Parts: sequence; structure tokens; C-alpha cells
Amino acid sequence: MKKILSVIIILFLTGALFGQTAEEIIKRMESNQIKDTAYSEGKIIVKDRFGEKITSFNSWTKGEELSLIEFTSRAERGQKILRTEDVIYVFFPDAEEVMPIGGAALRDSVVGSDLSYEDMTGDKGLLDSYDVALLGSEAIDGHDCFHITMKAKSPTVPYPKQDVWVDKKIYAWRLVRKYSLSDRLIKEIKINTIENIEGSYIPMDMTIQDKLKKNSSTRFIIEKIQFNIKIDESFFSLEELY
Amino acid sequence: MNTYVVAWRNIGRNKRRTALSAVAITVAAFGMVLLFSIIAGLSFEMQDNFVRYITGDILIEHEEFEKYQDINPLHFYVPDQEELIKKMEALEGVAHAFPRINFGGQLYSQASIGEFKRVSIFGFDPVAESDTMNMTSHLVPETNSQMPAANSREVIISEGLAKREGLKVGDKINLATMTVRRAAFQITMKISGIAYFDFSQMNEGIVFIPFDLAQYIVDYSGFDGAMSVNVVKKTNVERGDLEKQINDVLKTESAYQGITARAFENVSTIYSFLKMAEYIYYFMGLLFFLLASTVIINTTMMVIFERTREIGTLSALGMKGKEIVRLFFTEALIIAIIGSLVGVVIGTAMAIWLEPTGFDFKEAMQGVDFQISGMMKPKWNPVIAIFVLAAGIVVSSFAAYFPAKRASRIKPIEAMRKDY
Repeated sequence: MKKILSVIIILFLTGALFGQTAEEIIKRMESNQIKDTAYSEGKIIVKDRFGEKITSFNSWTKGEELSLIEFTSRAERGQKILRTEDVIYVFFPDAEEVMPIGGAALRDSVVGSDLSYEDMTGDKGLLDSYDVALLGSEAIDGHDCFHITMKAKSPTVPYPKQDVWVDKKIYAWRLVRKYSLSDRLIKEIKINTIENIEGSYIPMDMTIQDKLKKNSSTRFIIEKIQFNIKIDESFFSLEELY
Repeated sequence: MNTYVVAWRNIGRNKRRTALSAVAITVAAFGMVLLFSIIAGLSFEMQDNFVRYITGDILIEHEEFEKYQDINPLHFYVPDQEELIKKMEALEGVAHAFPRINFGGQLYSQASIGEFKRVSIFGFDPVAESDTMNMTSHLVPETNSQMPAANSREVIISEGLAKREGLKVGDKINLATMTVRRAAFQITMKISGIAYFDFSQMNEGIVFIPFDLAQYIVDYSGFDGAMSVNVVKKTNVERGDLEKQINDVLKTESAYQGITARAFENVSTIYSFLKMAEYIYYFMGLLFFLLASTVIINTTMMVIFERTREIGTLSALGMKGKEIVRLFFTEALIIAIIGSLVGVVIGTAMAIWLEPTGFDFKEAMQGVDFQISGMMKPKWNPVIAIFVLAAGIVVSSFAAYFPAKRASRIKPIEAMRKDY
């Protein structure tokens, strides 16, 4: 009897592990990374034919929609990026008007890096924007990963297709490839370091390559991160930018 | 026999034919004087515009700048521009020098989301350039334009930009650009004036900002940078000599390693082409005279045909072949001198009369990046008159040589037998 029960439990567990759908994997990955609130400090290192440029930033996020990034390096002179529900705003202290960014401009480069405004302020709510399918398993840098493909549900989504490799053990993404409508590889994001912060596995160091540019790469490094800090929603407003 | 007297008498025998030949040469000479005067005027205007608005007589910039100028390489700058200007103005042949920062940007407005209008930014020192560009003289009076106040964020925009975007004095504009540290930058500025320039390159899509504001925008302030320093020479100084002198100074200063000076003729490809084209135009002028000379050739052949018996008679009476050639050549020479002289005089008068006003080609020159205005003003000089006169006489008279040579070979017996 004990033997039969053990076999049933093993079969059940085995079935549970290999029976995960792509949606379940994405949900679990996002729950790992999307927190009620977060504060981080980091830097963006851009390498191109003109040399290396380092930009430092502080970032605040609340939920899936709200984020504020303040660039603290000398060159940026107080530039800020605010993301609200549907619009991203870019603030410069010397400008009286705050510039909204939408549509194709979301794919414009941030501070000359391989990151776009859309990349920088988050790829939140993947299941709202994409239909996902599990293609199988693949090892990335020695880590066994789920290989998931995502197709955009609407033409307004910046990247029509993405492929994601999610670490099977920790449910954090290891590699992302973003494609155009014609299946041309536009961007590749590779995770260099993942750390366990307050029980969540967070990519702390990643390399982004814009495949449409030659000899260009960006390294995005988070140096400090805190979750569930107190941030009022009014913090993410145009008035707070000044 | 006095060839000149006989020739003079002969050309009076058929006044209409003589007049036809002379008029053809007159028209060609007149056209050439006017054409060369217009080219001289274009060349002078281009040079003047270069010195005033673009390069000065000598342009000092980083040696790598020109190679990458299509991407506006801010990092190839001239450091310590104020010190460099002092050194330049201490040189014997320099009248004055001034800094410039020119870069690209985009105007934007929250009212027109996503609409970015490309503009050129022209950072200049209004005081240092009061003798060259003299911005005050370009302000459009009807618009209540003023020069930007010191230490302000006031700017002047070109009339073309004002019309295109519906802007006026007192409006605010938002400018987006990149800095030397490869950072995005945006700033709001107020329009204090609208400026008009005769040539389209300076009149389309330009925002003129004070030099210190330009330094702040592109983040050159920390090292007192400029994109270039323009040098204006004194009147009797050779540009080439001054270029060499400035380069010798730059080579000795460690702060200016990689910074070079070039005379404006070595900067502008278009100006070099224009100077080369002058030689082509001189050649075309000679061709025009040849074409005009076909009239003389034709009339000379007709005269020879009609006077065959006369030639035969002269030949029978002992006139040698070369004397016959000389006779017809002299007739052609007299017509050429008269025609060329009249043509040059009329052409000169026309060129001098048109010099203040010129021809208006502004509509045709819209959007043409040619460093000239649309007004084509002739600039006459005596060299043009002398060249056209000489070319007209030489080409036209020698054109008659071949039919005259043919006439000298007519045998008297055959000439007598012909019925004309």
C-alpha cells in the first residue's frame, strides 16, 4: 500500500513539474520580480565606437505601471523619466515643458544606450500583451531553462515577438531575445548575475545588445535594491518632477 | 598698296553683310562680358559669405572634425577658445577672431506630441562678430526684434524658421539636442528676434544663440570649448601666408595638439568647384566666339565667291597669294575689332548698371545649399573687358584666315572664265 502511495505521489509530482504551461511559468517569473514597491540604485555602462560612458541612476517603482528614474550622473544634469499608466514622460530641469513619449518613440534609446524607454521602465504584464507558448528546455550558461516564445496580441506592443529563457530552478529569466515583425532579431538581453534579495531572485547585472547597431553594447547593473518601501502614488506625478 | 585702306573700303562695299558679321561678334562679346561679370560676382559673394558667416578667412578646428562632420562630432572641439583668440589677435595679419559652436537639434512642443522639427543651432558671439556677421543689421525691423539680453536664454531665429513654424518674437521654443558627454538635453528659450539673410543656407531652420548659452547647452563650459575659431585677416594679407603662420603657432602649443587652421578655399568644396568652373567658362567663352565667327567665315566665303573675278584680276596684275590673304584677313580683323569693341562697351555698361541690383533668382535657389544668395549681381573688372576684347578679335579674325587662304589659291585663268 505504502509502495503504491509513493508511486502515486511521485507520478503526481512528476506530472506537476512537466505539466506547467507557459502562462504558469511567466506568472511565476513575474511574481518573483514584480513587487508592490521597489527602490534601486545602479548604473548603465554604454560601450560603442566612441568609447565608454557610465550613467548612474536611482529608480522607484510601484506595481506594474508606475516608475520614476532619476539620473544622478553629472552628464545627465538631473534628467528624469516618469512612467504612468500609458505614457512615459522625460523631464529636464532646463526645459519648461515635460516631453511625453509614446508609440514608436518608446523604442528610442535611453541615454544613448541599447536600452529603450520601454525596456527601461519595464516589460510589465507580459500575459496582457503576449500570447505565450512553451517550446521546450535549453541550457543557458549551464542553467537549465524553459524556452518560451511570446507573440504580441496587438500591433501597439513595441516588440511583436520575444523569446524568453526562464531558469527552471529559480524562475528568473536568463536570456531574452526581441524580434521585429519580420522575425529579425532586434535586441538580446543576457543576465550575468542573479541574486536572492529578500527571498526573490532578481537579475542584478545584465548585458543588452541592440542588434541593429554595430559595436555597441550596454551593461545594466543594479547596485542596491529594496522592496516594499513606503511610496505614495502621488510621488509618480508630473508635479513631483520639479 | 595700303592693305588697310583697301580693306576698309571693301568692307564698306556691302554694308549689310558687314553689319551682320559685326553684330554677331558684338552679341557674343556682350554676352561674354556679362557672363564673366556675373561669375565674378558669384565668386565674390561666395567668398564674402564664407568669411562673414561660415569660416572666416581662416577656420581653426580639430583635425578630425571634417571627417565626421556629418554626425556633428561635439567631442572634436577646440579647447580654451578665449586664450586661443588672444593669441590669434596678437598676430600681425589678424584683424579679429571669434568662436563658434554649431550643432543640430530638434524643436518640440507638448502641443504637438511626437512632432520634432529639425533645426540647426548657431552659437555665436554677437559682440566679437559685430564687424563681420553684424547680426543687428539682419534683424527684421517690423517684428520688434532685439538682440538677446546678456546672461539670458533669449535667442534669435531665422525668418524662414519663423514663417515655417508660425513663431514670433516673445514666443518660447523647446530645444532637444545631445551634449558632448553624449547625454540628451532639453532647454526652453525665448525668441528675442527674427533675422533675415540673403542666402537660403542662413535663412532656413536656424536658431542663433549667444555663445555662452551654446557652451552651456553642449556642456563645453568646463573647458571653455568651441567647435571652431574663425579668424578674419587684415586687408593686405595673403590668406595662405596667414594659414601657415597660424598653424606654426598651433604646433608649438601643447594645449592645441590636433587643432589645425585652413584657409576657407581649402574648406569649401563648392568654392573650389566654382574657381575651377571659371576656367571652364573661359573656355566656353572662346567657343561662343568661334560660333559667332561662323558668321564671319560665311560672309568671307560669300565675298570671295562674289569677288572671284576681282581676285583673279588682282592676281593677274601681280598681287601675290599672301597679299590676298592679308587683304581678306584685314577686312575680317577690322570687323572683329569694331564688333568686339562695341560688344565689350555695351556689356561693361550693362554689368556696371546691374551691379547694385542684379538678377533675382531667389525662388529658384530655395533650398539650394550653395553659400550664395538668390541675387546674382555682376562684378565687372577691367581684366574681363580686356580678355573678351582680345578673345573676340583673335578668334573672329583668325576664323576668316582659312577662306582667305583658299582665295589666294584661285588661278587667274580659272577666275576669269567663271560667270558670276
